[in-house]
Amino acid sequence: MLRLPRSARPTLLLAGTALAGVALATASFGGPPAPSATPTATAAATATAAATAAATASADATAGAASSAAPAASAPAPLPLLTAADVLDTPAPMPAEEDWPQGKAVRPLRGAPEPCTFTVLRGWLRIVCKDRLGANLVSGDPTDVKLAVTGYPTGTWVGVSPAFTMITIRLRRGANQILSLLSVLVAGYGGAEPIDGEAIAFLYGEDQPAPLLLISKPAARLDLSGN
Amino acid sequence: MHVVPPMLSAVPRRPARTSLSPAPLRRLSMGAALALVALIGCSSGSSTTGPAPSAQPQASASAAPSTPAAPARTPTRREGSAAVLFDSDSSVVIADEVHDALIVAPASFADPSLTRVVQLPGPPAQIVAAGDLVFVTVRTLPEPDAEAARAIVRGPAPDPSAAHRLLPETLGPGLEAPYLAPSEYRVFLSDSTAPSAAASAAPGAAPASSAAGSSAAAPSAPVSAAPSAAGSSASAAPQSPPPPKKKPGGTKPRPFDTAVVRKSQGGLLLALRKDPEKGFTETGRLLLPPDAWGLALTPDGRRAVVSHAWSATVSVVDIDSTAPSATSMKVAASFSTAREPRGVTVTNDGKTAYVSHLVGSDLTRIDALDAAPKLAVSALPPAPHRTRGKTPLPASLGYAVVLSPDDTRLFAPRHAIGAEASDAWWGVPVVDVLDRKTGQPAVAPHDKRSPTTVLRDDIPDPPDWHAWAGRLPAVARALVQPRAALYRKKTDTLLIAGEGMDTLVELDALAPDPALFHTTTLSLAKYDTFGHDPVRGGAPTALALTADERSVYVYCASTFDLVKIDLDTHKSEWLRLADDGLPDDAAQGRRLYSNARSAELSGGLACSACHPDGRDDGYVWREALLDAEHDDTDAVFLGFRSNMKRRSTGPFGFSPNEKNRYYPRQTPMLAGRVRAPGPYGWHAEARTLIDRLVRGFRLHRAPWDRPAGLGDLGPYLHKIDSLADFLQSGLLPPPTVAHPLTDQEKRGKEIFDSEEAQCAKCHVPDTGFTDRTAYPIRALPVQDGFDPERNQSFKTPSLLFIAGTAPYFHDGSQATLEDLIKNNGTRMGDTGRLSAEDRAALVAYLSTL
Repeated sequence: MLRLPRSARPTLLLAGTALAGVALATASFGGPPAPSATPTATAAATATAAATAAATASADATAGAASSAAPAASAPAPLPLLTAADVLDTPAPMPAEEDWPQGKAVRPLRGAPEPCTFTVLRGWLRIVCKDRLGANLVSGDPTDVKLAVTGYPTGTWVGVSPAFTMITIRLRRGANQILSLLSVLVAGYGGAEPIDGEAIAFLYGEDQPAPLLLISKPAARLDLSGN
Repeated sequence: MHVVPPMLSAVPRRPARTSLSPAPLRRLSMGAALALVALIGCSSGSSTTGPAPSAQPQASASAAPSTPAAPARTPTRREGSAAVLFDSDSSVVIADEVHDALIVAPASFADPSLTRVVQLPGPPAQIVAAGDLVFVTVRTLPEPDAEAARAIVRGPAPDPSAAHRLLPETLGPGLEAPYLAPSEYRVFLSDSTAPSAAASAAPGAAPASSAAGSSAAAPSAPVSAAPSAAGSSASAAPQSPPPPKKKPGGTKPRPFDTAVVRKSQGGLLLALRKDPEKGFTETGRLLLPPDAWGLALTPDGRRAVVSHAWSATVSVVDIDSTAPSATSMKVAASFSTAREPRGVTVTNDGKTAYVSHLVGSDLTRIDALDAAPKLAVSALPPAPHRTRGKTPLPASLGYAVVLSPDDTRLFAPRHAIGAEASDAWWGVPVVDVLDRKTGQPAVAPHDKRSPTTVLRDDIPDPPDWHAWAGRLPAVARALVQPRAALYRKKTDTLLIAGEGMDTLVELDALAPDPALFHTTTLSLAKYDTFGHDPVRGGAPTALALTADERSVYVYCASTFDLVKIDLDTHKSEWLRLADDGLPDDAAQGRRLYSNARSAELSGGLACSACHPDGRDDGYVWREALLDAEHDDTDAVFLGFRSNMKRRSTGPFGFSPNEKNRYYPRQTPMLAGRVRAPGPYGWHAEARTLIDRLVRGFRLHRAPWDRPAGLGDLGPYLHKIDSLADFLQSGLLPPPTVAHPLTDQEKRGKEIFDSEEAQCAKCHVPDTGFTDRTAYPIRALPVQDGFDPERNQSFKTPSLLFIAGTAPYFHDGSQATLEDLIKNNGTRMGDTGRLSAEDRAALVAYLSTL
């Protein structure tokens, strides 16, 4: 039985997501498009990226060896960062579900991307996170922010049939948004408990040369009741 | 700008003394101290009279340099800290406030016998290193009788020869930390990797080698089995493990006399020069208002900004450090500020300083710092994305403030009281970021129109909690009670010392809310069984980052440990610098006072979170009576009504018909007010201090997770007893400068004692200005968001330190003492008929208490 929050129904419709395309969309949630499918960055984007190179270099120091060390010959090239060219001056409609596999996989400037993938297409960013049961927009403008969950979330409690949370955001100048993911702590016979997952930030201030995408680890937890 | 009263230009009495580790050097200490006295006498102009009173406090050191002047010493790091690296990172200097000492430890930890203890004339708070000098704020220069009383409180001076290494370990990520039996935690209190440790183990101590190698004995067994590079140094002295830890229980408290220990000549700014043998010798001192705490230097080292916490003042000090043997300092400007100014930072251009506050959300800003300084205020509403409504939240615990390297962003770690989180009952710890270009918070507010997660129709019967729309992220427990902060340029991250959970946390400084974007959480402490009583690593309060930013030193103030942590590998090395001079029970109370791990005692928030330094947070809490129709006895504290979470009455249900009531309760000050046997509580309902603490801990529990009854507290009563001992024996009150009453204050005293005003009838001067009796008072107007009081009888509160504890009345409805007197009418005594002049006189007198 479908039980949608009343407030969510218009969002679902506005999302323009054809329910018939569920299977296709779900299939694409499992990971980013292959690197070979990533379009070549434009010259403008390259210039913008160069402008933020210094910040990127320092940020990469914490982003993991894959992104900070010089790639070995056999190692896949790291995914590109968001660039100014990924943000359109004129808003475009949200891509249809079947179009998303054509998008460009990107990585956050900071933080390990797992368990999420990040895809850019025609001025929109899609974030798909495995084993996450929902998302909330913690701060920032909610316009053109779509949140959905698919798969079989209750199955996540017992480690089967993972859920996918899907965040779709229109990229734009002036953005200052933080989203948080909802995860689940499976405690065996102790049941399951919803907990915080990662936090994601998308920032593109007027004076920033390029948009900034960050993802955190889940916060460290401490159950005081058991102490 | 106001002029510091001339009374502050009093006589510095106790010179800095240096304790030396090796015996021959120790024998030199008397001579060194005498030499130091001579030096101070020289630098003060007179060894007996001090600088003459003047309109502006004068520089204490004005001796002409005997050699050609050198350039001014410039600071290594502008912001002060209780721990700084010094002398090309070869030593770490610790401000040990408990022992009134600077402790100078070798940065390598290789040879702890090189540790030096420099006894200071009062408790140091922060240090800035500049060339071969360190500048140190000292909270109080006690009057002689106060010094004698404080010497009893602090106990013996730290013995530098007793400084010893503790077991190194690689710190694991996360917040979980094991609770250890004595036979287990003793392993961590000596360095079993030192060659002679096992051979010289004290009777009763577990064999270090076997215990360290046993994962059963040490659940968090050290990874580093081999001596560290430092520990394997040929010069490393044999390590003697400490004697077995005495089990608390039975030591008697040593209650201090508030009227004596508070007596101060003022605060100090000291300049100390590196001394190869003694650690440091004093080259200058400047008497300032009491409670000198925060410190920052301008990049050129020519000006300092000092915050005076209790005095609510900020001083701008001119420094001339060009002379090799004397440092000249004088006050350039002094400003009254909001309550409890603490952390200070200065911009790269030396033109602007920011000051954080323990009470309130605004930052104090000093503009034109390089010319004629001017006072300003920078609003920084805490956690706007966790704020319900448009009214900014209050904030507390602003101990530190730091700038990004390019000065564009300012970071203020603190508590946002009443901020929303899925599990918040009091609020959340945050790192508020000020965008200096816009003057606005870097984080955007939460928008009520935020979308909910859409559930797909292939999900059968999703549970209600599934989407949890609008759920804000939980409290970042690792950040509870943030004490110190550093910006790590190499990684654009912030390092924060979390006092409550004994943590070092690294956060993404590029994020608009760094508290949500952590990269590393390290739990530093080891805990006694049942105790949440850190046996090492308790209350991290200061950080010092090496020049290469690979390692950070953390000073843990309740266990007196210095920890060196490799930020890449998380390998840690430990040095115990001192022992607590308090009786064992009171010392345990000190460790518990700042610890937020105990569910029984803290509910995730330690005593020191609302009573920092034993003072108050200036906030009016909600004493919430939940489900009042069914239980009219059991209340809990809440930050705001909105922090009330629906309580589950079953696996899937909630209690929809609860009637909750909320009563306003201003946080009372504790330090110096808890010596009486009783009664305690707003209604004098607790016969003893321990009774009050037991009730208090029930109030502080989160509403969804409460003890079943007093009987459950049995195993924890010894901890409560220890806390009571600490409150009476170790929690020192603010320093205040005594002076003869002015004519206006005398008039105020006459009014206070008069039959007409009747103040002294209940606020009995001989018993701390209270008779500890509850009287019915006419009801105050009910504040918005609260309910009428059930019990209109309120215990006469102590008026000690009343001027520094705004707001007033139990409901905080009066913002100032002036308002209190003016609006009291006949509710307490009769001040309604006083003239404006007499009201001012009464306020002036109350401000002396």
